[in-house]
Amino acid sequence: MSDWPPLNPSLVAALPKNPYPGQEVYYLADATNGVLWHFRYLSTATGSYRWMFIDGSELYVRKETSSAGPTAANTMVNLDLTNLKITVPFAGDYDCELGGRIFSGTGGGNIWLHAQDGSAVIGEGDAVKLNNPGSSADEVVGAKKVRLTGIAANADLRLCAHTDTVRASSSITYAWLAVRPVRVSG
Amino acid sequence: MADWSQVTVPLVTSLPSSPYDGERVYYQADATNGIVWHFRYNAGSSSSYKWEFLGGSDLAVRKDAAFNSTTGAGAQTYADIDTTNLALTAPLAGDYMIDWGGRVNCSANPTFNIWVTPKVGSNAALDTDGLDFGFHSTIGPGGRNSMHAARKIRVTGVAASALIKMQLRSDASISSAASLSLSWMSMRPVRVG
Repeated sequence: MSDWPPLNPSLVAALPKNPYPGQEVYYLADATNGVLWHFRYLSTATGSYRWMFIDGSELYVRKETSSAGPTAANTMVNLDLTNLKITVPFAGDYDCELGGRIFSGTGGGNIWLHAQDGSAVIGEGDAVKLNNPGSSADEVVGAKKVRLTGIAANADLRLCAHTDTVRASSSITYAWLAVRPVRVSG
Repeated sequence: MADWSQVTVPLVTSLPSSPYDGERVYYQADATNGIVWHFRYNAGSSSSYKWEFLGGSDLAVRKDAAFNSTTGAGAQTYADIDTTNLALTAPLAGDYMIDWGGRVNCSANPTFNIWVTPKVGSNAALDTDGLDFGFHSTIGPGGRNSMHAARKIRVTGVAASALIKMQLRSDASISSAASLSLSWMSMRPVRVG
């Protein structure tokens, strides 16, 4: 008798250790908020991330009140590792959406608002940027989507910021972060 | 034993009244625009919204033309932007993700904040849920008078058939109209019931 695979993908709390080609599962990513992720196993995929994300809701955090921004030049600052952090369950690639209102505190230079995994890489490809060529403080509200690749299991994706100019203060308000997987390993 | 009832997931226009754990449906959220949502029933969920979203497209609207805010002295209260072209109806009770954005333009050297905020059903729009465009003539390179931005929020406890519409307000006098243009909104469920 044929050993038919389940027709209705299983709801799982961990990805199967010995998946078969084409296996599908529903992973409950956030039971509190009802966030469910649908994955399909692609055995022929190159690399170790063989569970492909089909669809589902995003993990999401937000904080409206002010978080202290960077003051020292070229040093990454985590905004709030309690309220503006998402721990991803699997190693893999993730799409992150981020946004917020950046206030420069003082004039000159630039401030970048990033979504990162703690690597504290100083760049701008993963960031919303406030460019302030004036001599007074400035602010801007913005949003962006970035793909973060090679993220470790249980990494804390977080909002962080840096500036290229020493300033007395800066802050971020109305900050938010949303994360969905692209592909992961078990 | 195989669950033969799931060989084909049914397309439905209302959620089953007596679902079983793990049941799936394709819910036709918007037949006109071909929007179908895939749900799975989670009997073990502690929420009353036990149909959890597995995928599908967003309900979406946009309004490219400018909406001119009401001018006046003092802080302005929230007012509808366009209840036809910048509003959506939640077909099912539940929790939803809402994305929206647009471009606010105002007179030179303005000094006020403008919030563009979704009003959900009978609840008042809240600044904390809003997209805050801060314009201050005393800051920046001579005062910025245009910004283009977006935001995403999760809204919980949305009633079935609730209208979700964009509203706008300022926190100070507007001597000449500020405008919102290139505005858009989209929503999709997280879980419903």
